[in-house]
Amino acid sequence: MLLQCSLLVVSCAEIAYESNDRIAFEGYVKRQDGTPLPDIPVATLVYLNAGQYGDTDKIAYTTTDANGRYVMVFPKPTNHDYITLSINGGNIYYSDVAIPDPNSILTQYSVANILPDDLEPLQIDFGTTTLYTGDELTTLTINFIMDSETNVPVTGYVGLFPITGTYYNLPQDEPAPDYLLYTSGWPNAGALSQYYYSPQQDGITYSRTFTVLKNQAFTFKYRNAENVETAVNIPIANEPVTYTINY
Amino acid sequence: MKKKYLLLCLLGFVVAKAQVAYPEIPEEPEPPQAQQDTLQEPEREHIIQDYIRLYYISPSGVGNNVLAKANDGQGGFGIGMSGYFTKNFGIIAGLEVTTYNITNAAMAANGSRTIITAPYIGGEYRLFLGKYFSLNPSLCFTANQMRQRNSEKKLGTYQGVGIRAGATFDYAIIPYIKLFAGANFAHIWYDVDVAAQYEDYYRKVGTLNVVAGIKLAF
Repeated sequence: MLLQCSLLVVSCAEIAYESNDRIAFEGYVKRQDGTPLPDIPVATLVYLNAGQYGDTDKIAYTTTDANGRYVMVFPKPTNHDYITLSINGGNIYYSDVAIPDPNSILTQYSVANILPDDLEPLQIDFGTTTLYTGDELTTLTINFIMDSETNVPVTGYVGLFPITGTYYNLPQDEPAPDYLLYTSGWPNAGALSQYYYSPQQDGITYSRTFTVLKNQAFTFKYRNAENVETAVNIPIANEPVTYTINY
Repeated sequence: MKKKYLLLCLLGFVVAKAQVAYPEIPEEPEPPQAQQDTLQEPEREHIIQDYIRLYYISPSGVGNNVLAKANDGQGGFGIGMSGYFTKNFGIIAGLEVTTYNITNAAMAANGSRTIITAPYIGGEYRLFLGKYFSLNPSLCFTANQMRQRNSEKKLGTYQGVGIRAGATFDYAIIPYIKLFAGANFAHIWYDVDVAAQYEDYYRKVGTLNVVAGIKLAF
């Protein structure tokens, strides 16, 4: 009975908007050469206890204007966990990871985990977000071959830069969960992106593929359990690249 | 907009009916001189000075603000009372509730409608125009509450205060019942915390309400 009551209370959790504050999200969406991208869908998603008994609101949405600019000024939620900004995201209403629209020729982008403290200035300018078409992109696959004598968790750092995915607005004092993929973007455009691997079994290969920009010098950094960092340069031209790391 | 045309047509109908179709009141034999003095002023339609008013409202936002640019006025109702201290001056008080459809999910919220509740109190002047008509300009203070919502929940509630100027045109169909139509303009200051460049857009709201209804004497 107690469990049932608890579930009932949890399942009734609802995002509330009980303050007199409004939050402004704004920015630009452009091509790589600076050309504005009009009519790109942009949405603000609010999450409370995301999961089976949580609540999600698509509190505001719009499209970019002729200058590629978007503005959303929405009521401030008062009991939420985090907010996600989605650009060209398609159907991402119930997910914090944007799902690419197969019919879209442009990449999508999102900023997840915008926390209540981030809203205190009442305004966030996300700057310019660049979207790419498929002919500007290729793939990079990185294989980790795990050695039985160094069977340790590995943390990987990616330099410039996976194109699609979610930028996760990670608080400084929180450890990153191991399933998240980080891409560069707001608020520190050009900052190192990160991803983490869980501990692997002896001798198996762990593989991960990223969508990346063509014709770039890709720097990949990884770190083992002894916190020793290794950096490798992976040149990327126009064709897909596979890179293998043994350790 | 169609509703406003209907209301204007109603107002025109009232005027036309009074000028063309309303039957002349048969003249009564002149009473003795002493009684005539007591009945000359006010006219019989104006003797009753306290009314309850019930009316329909066609609302719209005015200016460059969230109500005018991100909402579309739908309808509403009002209920009020008027009491006169003299033949021409009185106070009015009441409550108006108006609804708007949200048309811009970026600047208002991803909701379906905005509801404004506005109790008011103020003064009214009554200018008699013949035996059956009066023009009633008024000036009121309002306490406004703006609620945005969808079918499931509220998406923000904002409090405000305002000042409202308007007028109604009344037609007394019988001594205890009047039809009226009119309009009022209100400027409301809402308490909203928002980034500086959006303050005027959310804090300073103008409304133009076209009204039509009935006044019942009591």
